[in-house]
Amino acid sequence: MQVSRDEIIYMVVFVTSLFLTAAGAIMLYVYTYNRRKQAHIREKNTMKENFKRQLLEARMEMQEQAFANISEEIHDNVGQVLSLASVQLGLAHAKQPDVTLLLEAKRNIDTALRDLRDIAKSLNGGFLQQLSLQQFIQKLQRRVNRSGLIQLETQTQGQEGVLPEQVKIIVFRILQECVQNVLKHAKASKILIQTFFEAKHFRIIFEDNGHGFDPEENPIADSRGLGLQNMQLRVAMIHGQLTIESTLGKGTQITVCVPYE
Amino acid sequence: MAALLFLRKTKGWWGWFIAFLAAVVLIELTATYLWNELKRSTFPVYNFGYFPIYFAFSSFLLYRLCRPLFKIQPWISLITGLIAVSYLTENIWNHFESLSVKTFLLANVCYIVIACCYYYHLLNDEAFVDIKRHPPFWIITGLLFFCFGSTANYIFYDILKEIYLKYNLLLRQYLMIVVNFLLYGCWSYAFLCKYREMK
Repeated sequence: MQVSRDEIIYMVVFVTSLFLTAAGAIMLYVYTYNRRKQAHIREKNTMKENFKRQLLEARMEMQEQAFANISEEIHDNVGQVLSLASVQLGLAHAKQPDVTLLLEAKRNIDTALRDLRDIAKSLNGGFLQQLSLQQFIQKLQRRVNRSGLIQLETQTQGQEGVLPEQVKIIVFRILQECVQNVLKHAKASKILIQTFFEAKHFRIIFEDNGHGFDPEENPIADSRGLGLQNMQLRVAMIHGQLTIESTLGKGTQITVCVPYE
Repeated sequence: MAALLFLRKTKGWWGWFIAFLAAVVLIELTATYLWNELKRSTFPVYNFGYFPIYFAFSSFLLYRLCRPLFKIQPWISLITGLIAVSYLTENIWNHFESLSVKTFLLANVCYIVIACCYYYHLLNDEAFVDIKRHPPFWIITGLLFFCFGSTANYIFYDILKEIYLKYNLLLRQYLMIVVNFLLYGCWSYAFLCKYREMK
């Protein structure tokens, strides 16, 4: 079969154009992909910045909470115990020295000293970060139960591993926020915190027997809603999940599930 | 001209572009003189002058530009060895009487593969590079256009030679002008980027 000169020319020009188009397509693809990469890097940096900001906020809030607790402790416990000890010593001074009264005053001063040591520990910035999740929950339990307003119970399954500092700070802050919400809004008499340490993640179930709320209503509209939204945002930052279940009159259950990696 | 203008003050291996391009200009002038004035074949100038320089400089370029992104040394050694063996074998086979087209095609295919590897590693790299102002990207892109274009052209080398002998039509040369325009266009822009980078 004879191929004409023009046909050969067309074919050569076509193939060369095709090859050059292929090179152009590769270049265009690299250019487009690189722009997408730039957008992705920008997004990643923004997320990193947000995470840092949220972590800092959580730290500040924890510090504020710690100061509030200290103030409460001084006012409600140390102050009262020392006042009582002072009255007892005054009585002892006025009367003949009474051994029982003196022993009672000594016990009160010891209690005040123990409380003061606790406060001193709380003032140490790294103290909370050194606590394990279990120790933090126990501390929270002691503090809540001592207030006498509400009963906090805990249950644990599994062995706690070493958790990164950022994860601990965020989980501590969420638990504090949960307790604050119950005290402020739920009118509950009981809180139960269950902790499950599993192979790849840990799960905390926080439930109260308060009056709950209707999830159909817009909870974002009030301060509690904002707190819940904030909690969800923070859990997402440590790649975890937070679910809230609430029924009017039956209390609220908040589940936090965080992977170890 | 662009190389002289923008790369004059560069330090390091970028200055080799001036030497390479000067050699290419010299080869082209010699070929033109041979063809126009002496009416003799230009094949020895391209086969024994241009091809070895092109193979050596392209391999060197790819080695230098890909080295920061991935381990290229073993591959470039292998490819250079392969091209050298193929070049010698083809010339011996042809009794040093015709152009080493097969070696040229083989080299181009290898360079295209390396250029694609460069793009792949550039995109996978953690750091972001603005490719619009990145000289290595434009050097490799110019080379890619040249390799693709000249491969298409040299596939039809025998047919195009026949067309020239029959109809006196310089189609291959016209197509090579387009391909060279793309290559040197990209390279000139790369030199400009390099110049701006140094300022």
